[in-house]
Amino acid sequence: MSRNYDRIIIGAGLYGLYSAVESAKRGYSVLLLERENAPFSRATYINQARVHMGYHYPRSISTALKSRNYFERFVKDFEFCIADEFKKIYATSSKFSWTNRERFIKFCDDADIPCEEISPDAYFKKGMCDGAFITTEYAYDWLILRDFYSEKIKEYRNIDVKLNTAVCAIEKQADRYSIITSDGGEFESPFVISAVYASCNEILELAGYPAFKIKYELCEMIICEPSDNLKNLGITVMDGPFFSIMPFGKTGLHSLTSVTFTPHLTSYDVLPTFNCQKDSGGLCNKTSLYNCNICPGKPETAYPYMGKLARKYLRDKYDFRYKESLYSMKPIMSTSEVDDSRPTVIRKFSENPTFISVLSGKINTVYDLDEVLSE
Amino acid sequence: MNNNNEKEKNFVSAVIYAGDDAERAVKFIGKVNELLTLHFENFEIIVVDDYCKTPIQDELLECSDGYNCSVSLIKMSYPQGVQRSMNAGVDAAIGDFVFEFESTAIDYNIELIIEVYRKSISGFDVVSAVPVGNTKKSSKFFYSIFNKYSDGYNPLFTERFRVVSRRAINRIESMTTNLVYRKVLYRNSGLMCSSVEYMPIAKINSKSLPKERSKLAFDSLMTFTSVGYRISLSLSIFMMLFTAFSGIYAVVVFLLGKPVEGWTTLMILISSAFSGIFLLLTIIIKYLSLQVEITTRKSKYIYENLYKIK
Repeated sequence: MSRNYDRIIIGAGLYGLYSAVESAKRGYSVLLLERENAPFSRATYINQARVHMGYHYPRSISTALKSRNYFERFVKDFEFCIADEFKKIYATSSKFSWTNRERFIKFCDDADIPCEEISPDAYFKKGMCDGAFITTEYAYDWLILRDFYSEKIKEYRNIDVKLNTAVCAIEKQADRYSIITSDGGEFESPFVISAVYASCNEILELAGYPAFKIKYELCEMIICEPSDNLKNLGITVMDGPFFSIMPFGKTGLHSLTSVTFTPHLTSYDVLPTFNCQKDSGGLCNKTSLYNCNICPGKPETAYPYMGKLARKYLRDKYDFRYKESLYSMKPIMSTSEVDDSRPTVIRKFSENPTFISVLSGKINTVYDLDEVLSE
Repeated sequence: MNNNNEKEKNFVSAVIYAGDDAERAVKFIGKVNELLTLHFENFEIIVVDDYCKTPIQDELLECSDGYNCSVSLIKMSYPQGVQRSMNAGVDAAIGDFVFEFESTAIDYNIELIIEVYRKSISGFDVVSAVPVGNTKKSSKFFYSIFNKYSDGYNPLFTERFRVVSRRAINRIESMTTNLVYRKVLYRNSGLMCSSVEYMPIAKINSKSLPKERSKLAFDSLMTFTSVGYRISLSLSIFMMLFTAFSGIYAVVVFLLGKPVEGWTTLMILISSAFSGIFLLLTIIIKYLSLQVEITTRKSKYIYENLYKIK
């Protein structure tokens, strides 16, 4: 016997939880399905927790403007989980950068985002960067945000959450979708949102819809302990094969990523196919992507490379120490290769019954969902 | 030396100029990978494809499972020669020590790479592998001129590859923006330089183009030695003496009142003087073009992209 809901939302990351709460506010009965044993177990947790103002996208003014426009709203709505006490430095590398000091200043001017020029020598070894800027950028704390949403959904009796529940089949009926889950449950709804990030094509295939044109990257983010001098600093070197080190929310730790060494493996297949899946002990395959962070097949750390790259640029007093590695799968739109844009793509595959798949770009573009949620 | 604890802790980078022989380059990269895996805990390989006739990217991707380190490929936008390509490769390198391989031809035992590295960590910022004997006559001539007229206290030799410290890379970067010939700059860096000599175990043919080699030799002589200045000076003195002699001759002829037709003398004077002037102008123009390049060229090289192979 199947249960009926006004809306079924697949995936309990920020986009899924936001959709669930906003739908519940409008009086809809909501079922939230999550394959992990807790919300925020993958992408919302394992990323640099950057609340973007747009600086990161000097080759995509559209992404920059979108980030900037949502920045204040996000900071206001989620103020309780925002780390904003640190100084954020963006710098342009002297070599191998797709931008430079002059272009970056012009970009900030065009995007109307604050940028105060300082001497690169204050933070970087001589000659490594041709421009450095104090910017306005924050980090969110995933754990505080998760706790907030965990409490929030308890406030709404019209939200049912099913953890440890994967979607096994999706069938379109005349006026609704029927979803069968891994625990044998059967649910029906005229409105389904898939907000599963890296598993988006997996869900689309189950529903019989065309896949997003994406590539997949198995990524590693380093968590490190900053030295006292680095503690209240976030530093990002642009725009190319460089690195970013910044506070990981309010944890007192820093996250470190690098464009070259953070992605370990890449798959260009419609469904993510990786050699490491054979080492996962049967837990991971292309039609059921396991959580890379707890997978036995996850790759060895690239910290020696990432640490070395950061130290090549940073002055010795801004040192850090390795603590742990976090792994996750990142889908990147094929069209983003040239301009490095990170659009949030919301695609409606069917109307009445409605099937929507969202491929999130950045955390603070979650408000892009408002339009479809208000239907 | 297979135990990780016994491996070298220094992070090293190997920058390899792929050349036009992709097959040979891939073999060489495989050998370097094997050797460095045995001796180093962490290392990277950076391959520079100088717009080669046989692109190497696909071949590298095919072999990528066999590599035990990060392998990157820098693809130059158009052929820019060994020196500029190596500049790009070294700029991308992150190692404490960087091996610079300007050729993938091997006429040495591969273990020589480790020997050169060991010599470096004994206190030298730059250590080169120098083949003994069998040096080309043109190279011998170039080095003899160069060493005679250069200010550096470290003589230049034919080198097969070298290892340089991060300190040496930083030093030459601060010395000039125009790294026209890395080898000379390292030798003139004021840091400790050394070499490891070896007897070649195979004969190799230089793949670099005679045009590129001669341009590099000429640019290097003009930039790093006083050859140009000395030639100009000698010519100026010669022409000054010649002009003075002609003047005296003209005065003497005038005073003696024995007019001669003077056609031949005049022509010799004019043609000699103009020859000298043109030669001088050539040297001056070369100096000026080098100056223009140094002052106007912002980027040392133009690359298409940096790809991650593994």
